[in-house]
Amino acid sequence: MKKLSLSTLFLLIWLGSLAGQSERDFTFYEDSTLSLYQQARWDQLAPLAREALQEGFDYYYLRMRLGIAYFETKRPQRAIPQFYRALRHNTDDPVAGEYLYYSLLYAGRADEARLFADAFPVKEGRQPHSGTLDLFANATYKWSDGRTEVGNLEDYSLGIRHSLGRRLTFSHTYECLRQHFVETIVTEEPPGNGNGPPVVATEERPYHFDQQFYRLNAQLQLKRGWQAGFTFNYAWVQSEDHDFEEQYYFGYLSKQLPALQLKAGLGHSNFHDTYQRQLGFDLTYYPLYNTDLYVHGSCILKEETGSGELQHLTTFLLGGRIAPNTWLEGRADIGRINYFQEALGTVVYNIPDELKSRAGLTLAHWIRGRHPVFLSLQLEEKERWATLETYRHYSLTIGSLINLR
Amino acid sequence: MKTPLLLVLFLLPAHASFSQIENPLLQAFSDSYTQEALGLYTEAIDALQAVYADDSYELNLRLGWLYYLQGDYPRAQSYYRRAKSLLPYAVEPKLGYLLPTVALGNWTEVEKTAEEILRIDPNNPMAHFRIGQAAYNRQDYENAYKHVEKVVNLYPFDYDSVVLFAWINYQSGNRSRAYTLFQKALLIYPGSESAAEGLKLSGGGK
Repeated sequence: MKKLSLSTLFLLIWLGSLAGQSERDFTFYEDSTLSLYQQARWDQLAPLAREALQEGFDYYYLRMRLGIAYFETKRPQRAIPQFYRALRHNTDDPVAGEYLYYSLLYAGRADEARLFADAFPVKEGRQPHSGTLDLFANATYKWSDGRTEVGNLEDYSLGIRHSLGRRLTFSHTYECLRQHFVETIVTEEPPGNGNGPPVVATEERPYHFDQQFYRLNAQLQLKRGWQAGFTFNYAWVQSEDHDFEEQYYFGYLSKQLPALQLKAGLGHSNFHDTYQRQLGFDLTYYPLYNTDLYVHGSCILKEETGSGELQHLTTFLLGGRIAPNTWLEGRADIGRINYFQEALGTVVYNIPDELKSRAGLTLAHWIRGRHPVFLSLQLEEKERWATLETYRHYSLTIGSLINLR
Repeated sequence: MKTPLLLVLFLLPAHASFSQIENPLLQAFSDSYTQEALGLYTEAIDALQAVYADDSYELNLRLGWLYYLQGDYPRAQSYYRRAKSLLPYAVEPKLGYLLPTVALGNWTEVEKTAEEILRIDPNNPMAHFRIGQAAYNRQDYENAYKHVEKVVNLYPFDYDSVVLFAWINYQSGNRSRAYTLFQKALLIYPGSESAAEGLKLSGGGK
């Protein structure tokens, strides 16, 4: 059995005497939270500070103590609103600004953290930069199961992400994709002597179409965890018989709450000269108030303008930290949808075959905590639009982002 | 016939004196001063609460002060706030309101209130001092300098202002001036740890 330290013993006696007070007034909450803060007893401090807030005592020091208690117990998402409130009591306070910066960073909200990067002096170590400059690259290869004429697919993308001021971030992506097909040509020729059945010959003829995309994504950090974004895709498609161009637009709004992230978006596109409208909702839940564990659900609803037919795709995702800088995500999608945009318009599915289900695993590792690399394995089940045959694509994606600042 | 008149004249001051003692408001204030002097803030508050009237500026102001001394800053704020609303042009309750607000660390509100004071009384030293202090805390030394310099010019022997002005000069890189000011601060308060530390850091003003 652990021995109680002298300071713990004093604290318990002192807290016991305070608990004996008939009234839990301001002085009680102030003295108790200050003492618990000085003793770094975060687990006891947090509920008491919350109780004080419920009693109507809301001031800078209390918000700071509660925020620091959450920060120290690795719950940055819960700490963030406390530091925001502390800053309302004490505008531009460097201590609250610094804690808020790191809480946002550890909560995976790096873009929002940048707003506070210059808010505090850095005595040692690397100065956080309010700007951003990243290079990113992805490569995907999809293997077809060969059940239909749809063959393998290659996709490569390269991009740059930069900030313009503290609140606005742009990313520019160039992507090229090649989809292979194998067409089976059946020919019937009359027999050479004029009698008997015709001679049937089959020939496999490979062909492909190429697509190139330019994608522009803009993200605007609004106040208090709100973010607005817009994605524009311009695609050049070259197939054997004709070339065409398409544009896709997607706008979204997101709000970060202590344990939840909510997103809603609207998309518009002209896939193959048919106009599509889509609506998307995303919800991510962080039960531990950090990125160590998260559950994500999303739903896309899409309608081809004027058709009245509604298509949908529902996604479930579970992710968590498995090592200090490594995360593992598992996902499953179910629905029936073609010609749609996902991941806030940064992924475009512009083929006529309907996606029926999808499952995958992604492993992401942050090199030195700054440069993420990821590996993703995925299985897609689709339905060929012309023949209604089901086929599968097995895909492998590798990607990385290099933070240049 | 002169006797009744003399009697009345004789009794009048006595009656007036008796009325004063019997006036519960007066008695409550008198008791509160006595208890405050003894450090018995709860009793001093109780004395005034017994005669509390929401529309009394004096009661609200005094209760604000006593709750501040007792350490109940939110309650002190609410009484000072009431006093401010009763006499909106009075500087006194606004200055009082600054005390618990500083204690709670709510510097945004401190600055807002100090600016309200400066609109009424542009040279109020306490308002300038608080704004300077708030600016110093957020490392806005230029603004802090502007406000605290005024206070030091008006009150060159005020320790708090002189030592703060010394630190503002030090943080702004004016070490020579800071050194002189830390020396002055030590003259006003020889035991000042802050001034002694500042003197050491400013390294002889070089």
